[in-house]
Amino acid sequence: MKTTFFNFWNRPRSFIVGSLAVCLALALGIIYFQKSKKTAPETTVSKQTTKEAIPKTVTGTFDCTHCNPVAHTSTEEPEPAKHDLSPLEYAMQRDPRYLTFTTNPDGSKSVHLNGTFRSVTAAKRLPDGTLEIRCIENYDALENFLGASQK
Amino acid sequence: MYQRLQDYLVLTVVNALFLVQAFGAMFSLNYTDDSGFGFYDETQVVAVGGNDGNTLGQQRRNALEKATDILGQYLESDVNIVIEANFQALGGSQNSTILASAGPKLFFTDFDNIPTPDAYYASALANSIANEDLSTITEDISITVNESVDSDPNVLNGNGFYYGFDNNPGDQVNFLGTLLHELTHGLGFISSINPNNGSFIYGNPDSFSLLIKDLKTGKLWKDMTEVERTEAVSNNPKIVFAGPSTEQASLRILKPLRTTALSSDGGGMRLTINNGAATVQSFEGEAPEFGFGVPPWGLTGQLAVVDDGVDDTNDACEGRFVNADAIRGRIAVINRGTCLFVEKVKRAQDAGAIAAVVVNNEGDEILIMGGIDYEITIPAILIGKSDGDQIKAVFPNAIVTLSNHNELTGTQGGLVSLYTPNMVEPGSSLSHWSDDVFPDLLMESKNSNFYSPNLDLTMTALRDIGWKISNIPLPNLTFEIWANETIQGSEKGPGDDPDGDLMFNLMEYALGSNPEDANDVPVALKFTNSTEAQGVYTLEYKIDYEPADIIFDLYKTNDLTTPFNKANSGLDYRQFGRTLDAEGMEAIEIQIESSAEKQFFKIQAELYTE
Repeated sequence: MKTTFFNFWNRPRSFIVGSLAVCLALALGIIYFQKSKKTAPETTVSKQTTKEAIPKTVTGTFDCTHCNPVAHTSTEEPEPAKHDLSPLEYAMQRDPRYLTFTTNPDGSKSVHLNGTFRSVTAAKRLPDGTLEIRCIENYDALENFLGASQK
Repeated sequence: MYQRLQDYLVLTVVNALFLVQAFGAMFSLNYTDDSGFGFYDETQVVAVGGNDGNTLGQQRRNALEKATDILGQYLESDVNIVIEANFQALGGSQNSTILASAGPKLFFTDFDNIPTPDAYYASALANSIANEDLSTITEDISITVNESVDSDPNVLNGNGFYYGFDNNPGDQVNFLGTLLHELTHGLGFISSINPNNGSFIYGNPDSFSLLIKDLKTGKLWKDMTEVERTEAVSNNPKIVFAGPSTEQASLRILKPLRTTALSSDGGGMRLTINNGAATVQSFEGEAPEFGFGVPPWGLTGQLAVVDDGVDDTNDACEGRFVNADAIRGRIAVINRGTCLFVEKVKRAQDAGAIAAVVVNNEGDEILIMGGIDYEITIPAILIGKSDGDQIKAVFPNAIVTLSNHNELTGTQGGLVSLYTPNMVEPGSSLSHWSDDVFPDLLMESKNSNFYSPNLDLTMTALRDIGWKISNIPLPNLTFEIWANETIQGSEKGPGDDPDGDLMFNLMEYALGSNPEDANDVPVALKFTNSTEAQGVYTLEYKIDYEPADIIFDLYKTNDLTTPFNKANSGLDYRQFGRTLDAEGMEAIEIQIESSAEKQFFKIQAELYTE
C-alpha cells in the first residue's frame, strides 16, 4: 500500500531553499500521559583505574599522532644503498613516447601505458627511528627520498 | 576479457587466475610469480591478525583478496576488474626501501556512455562505465611488491611486511594498507599530467584531472594551458580537488584547524546554548581525533549529564549508564578522567547519544582528545573545566548547538587540497591528498601505515571521477548532484514530482526512492506506543544515508486549526539513527514525549544551502 504524504512547501529561513513535509504522521488521540520515572538497575561495577588517553596539544594544525611509528634505533653504520631502481626509472615515466595509441573497431580509443605511469610506495627510517612511508610518482623524487642516487 | 586472459595465461609458466567475488564488483587476480616465489612463496608462517594463511605466499594472496573485498564492497561494476600481481626483489637498505609500485595498464576514451568526451579513463573505470570489457588485451591494473622487504634481513632491519588484517602493524609495514593505496591509483585515482611540462596524455585530461582546480587563478586544470599548469604545480596548497561528493563527505571526515597553540584562546569548535531563538552563551571547544564532524548547519540537541553510578559518576567509564534513558537521543555531557576518551564517547554512542561534550576536569586547557576507534561516528567536543562546571550547574539540560568555526584541515575554499610539493622534494604531485589533512587519509602521499575501514574520502573521490559506488558510509550527496544523476527529464527541482506519485523530489531524495518510478515508494512509516505506555511514542522510518544537505525536524500542533510549531530536539522528542542496512538505508527512530491528550506531528525535510 502506498504511503500518502502531504506537502508543506514554504521558505521559512533564508538558508533554506526548500522545505517539504515528508509526513503528517501522528494523531495521538486522547492519550493520557503519565510520567513515572524509571528506576535503573543498580550498577555493581567497581571503579577501575584505566590509563587515560594522553591528549595532545597541537600548534597551528594537526599532525599524525596515530601513525604507530616504527621505533628502531640502529647502532650500526648505515650500509650503502642497494636499491634496484632501474625498473622504476622506466615505470615512473610520463612520456608519450612510451605509449601505444590505438583506435579500436568500436570507435573507442585506448592508450597502452606499457608499464609507465606507475606510482611507487617507499619507506625510509627517519633520524628519530620512526619510519616514513610515501607514495611517489616522480623518479627524481624517489631517488631523493631513498637517498640512493643511482644515476 | 576473461577468455582472452586465459589464452594469454597458457603461455606463462606458473600463472593462475583467481576470481574474487566482492559485494559489488568482481576482481580477477592474475599472479604471475614463478613457483615458490612471491605470491607462491612456500615458507611456513603462523596466522597473524586474522590472516590464517600457513605459507607466506598464501598470506600474501589472502591480503590481496582482502584488499579487493574491501574495495569491492563499495565499487559497482558488471565487468571483472583484472589485476596482475607479482613480487620482485628490488633490494633496499637498512634505512630505506621500495615497498610496491602500481598503476593502471591502459586508459580509454571515446567509449560508449563516456561522461566527458575525449577525456581518458583508467581501464577498470572505463569498463565499468561502458558496461563492457574494453581492455581485452591485458589486465586493468598491475601491482609489483618488493620481495626484499621480507627476504633480505638488511632491508629495514628485516622487519618485513605485516600481513594481518587488523590494522596492527607495530614496527612492520602494513601490507594491506599499502595494497589498498596502490590499487586505488590503479582504479583511476591518478592524474596523468606530466609535471615537467604540464601536458596531458595526447593533450586530453584524465577523469581525475578534470576535477583539479587551481584556486589562484580560479581555473579548472583542464582549462589551463600547459605553461599555466606547469607553473601552478608549485602553488601548494592552492591546488584542490573539486569533486562534489568528496567536498560533502570531507565536512564530516576532516577536523577543523585549531585556532592557536594555547588552550583557552579557543578551539575549532563551539558549543552554543540556545534559549528559543536567542543565543544565551557560547563556549569554545576542540574536536577529537576520532568520530565524525558536525554538519555545516551544526548539530542541535539537549544536554544530559551521564551518570554511570560509580564515583566519578560523570566520567562514563563504568558499565551501563544509570540514566541511559535520559541519554538516548541527547548530547551526553561527560567528565574527563579515568578511562580513554574513545571509551567515553563510544559508551555515549552505544547509549544512543547523538554527540558528546567532554569536560576537562583538570583545567581550562582545551585539548584535542586523542585515540582511534573507527566505530565512533557521533561528533564530540572537549571544553574547559570552568565552562563545563558552568554548563553543569546552570544549563545541565539546555538545548545547545555544536558547530565548527574554523576551516577544515587540508582544505582551501572548502575543497580538499592535493599534494603539490616542489618537484625535487619527496612525494608525488597531484595524485594524493595534501599532508595537511587530519585525520590521515588512505590516499595521502604520506602513508600513515593505517587505513580507515570506511576508506575515508577514497570512495567519494572514485565516485567523483565516474565510478558507480554504493553504500558509501558517509553522507556525500547534495540534492543537486542527486537530481542531475537520477532524473532524466527536466523536472529536477525540489518541489517537482516527475512520476506524479505525490512524493516530491526532495522527499524522494531524503527517503531513497526513485523520483521517476511511481511504484518505488519508501519504507512505510511505522508508529508504535512505547511498551511502557508512559507517554513515550515511537515513530520509525528509513532515510537514505547518502544525502548530506538534509535537515530533519519535527513540528507539532495540538489541533490542526493552529500552525505547526517546531519541536525541540531532545526536549520534545529524541531522534537517533541506527545501523545502516545493506542498501545504505538508515533506520531512524523518533521518540516523542508528550503530556497532551491529542497532538499532531509532521516530520519536515529541509534542504540546506549556504
